[in-house]
Amino acid sequence: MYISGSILSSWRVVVVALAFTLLAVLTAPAASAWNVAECNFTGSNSYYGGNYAQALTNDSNHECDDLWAKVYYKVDSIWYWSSAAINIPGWDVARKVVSGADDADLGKHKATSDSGVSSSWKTSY
Amino acid sequence: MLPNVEGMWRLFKAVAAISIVISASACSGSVDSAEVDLRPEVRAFLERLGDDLPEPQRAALGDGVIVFAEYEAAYERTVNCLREQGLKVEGPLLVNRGRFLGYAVAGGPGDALSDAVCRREHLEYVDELWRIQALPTDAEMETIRREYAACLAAAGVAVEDSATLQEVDQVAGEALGTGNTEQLMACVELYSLGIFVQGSHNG
Repeated sequence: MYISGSILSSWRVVVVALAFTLLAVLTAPAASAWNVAECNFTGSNSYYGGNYAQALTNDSNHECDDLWAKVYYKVDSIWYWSSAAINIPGWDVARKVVSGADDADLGKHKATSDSGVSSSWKTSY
Repeated sequence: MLPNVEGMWRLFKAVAAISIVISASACSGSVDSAEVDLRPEVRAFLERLGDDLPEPQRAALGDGVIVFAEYEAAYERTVNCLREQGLKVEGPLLVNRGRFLGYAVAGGPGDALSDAVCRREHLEYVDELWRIQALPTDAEMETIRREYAACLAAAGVAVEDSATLQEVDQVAGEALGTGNTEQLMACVELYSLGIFVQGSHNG
């Protein structure tokens, strides 16, 4: 059976595009979502090639007060928990970034609702 | 090319410290926020404080103003408390070029929450007031927004003219890991209020 070069070429484009999409999905930090009282919040962790480890806690519906973020990161084969980044009052995000890290693994996230109810610590993987 | 951020920040801290000392010296030394021209956010925080305020933080909060020495001392006490618990702790560590402080605890995933008791006893309220004090006034906010956006632009990150300071911060956060990360992080460390960059303790 003859398959034209243009069809083969199209298939290659599709395969490459799918591979890139899969790579993007696998490498993008997956945010987990939680809620406490009326506050909806998300958390994720990631590692950037420039030796930066990060944990991010985000107020999703502007109904949260305190936001906390901690990152579990590695330096010279030793794993550390960072202390928490806590948002400035009124800001919707707390990001903890550690420079000089060799890797990052977990994130810890916590929020308090505007009505004063605190969540337990949540983990992002 | 970035401005000499270290020099700028040193100057900013010096001015801020002098302002705070002048404000603090205007107080009688007792907890009487009514006599002091406190910002509404600070006043609201002080009014929320209950009688169960931990003793180690009571003195620092007494005049309604936290100076850097008090903030740093609270972190020192927290780190010492953690070490007394047997934890291996690095710190206090500079965050955002010393605008904030932090620390690092070596240990497994289960140790993530091991600092809760020491934080509550030595740090929680001092840390919160420091963050409230860090909140710029509207006028300061506009200056920081403009300089932050210009710094990001020099790092190759475009920001819309109409973006608020928080939106500028969001753009910076989303740009992490792309382009000139080192230059971008220098901007974040200097200006950000939502991204807390802790330097590596070994580096």
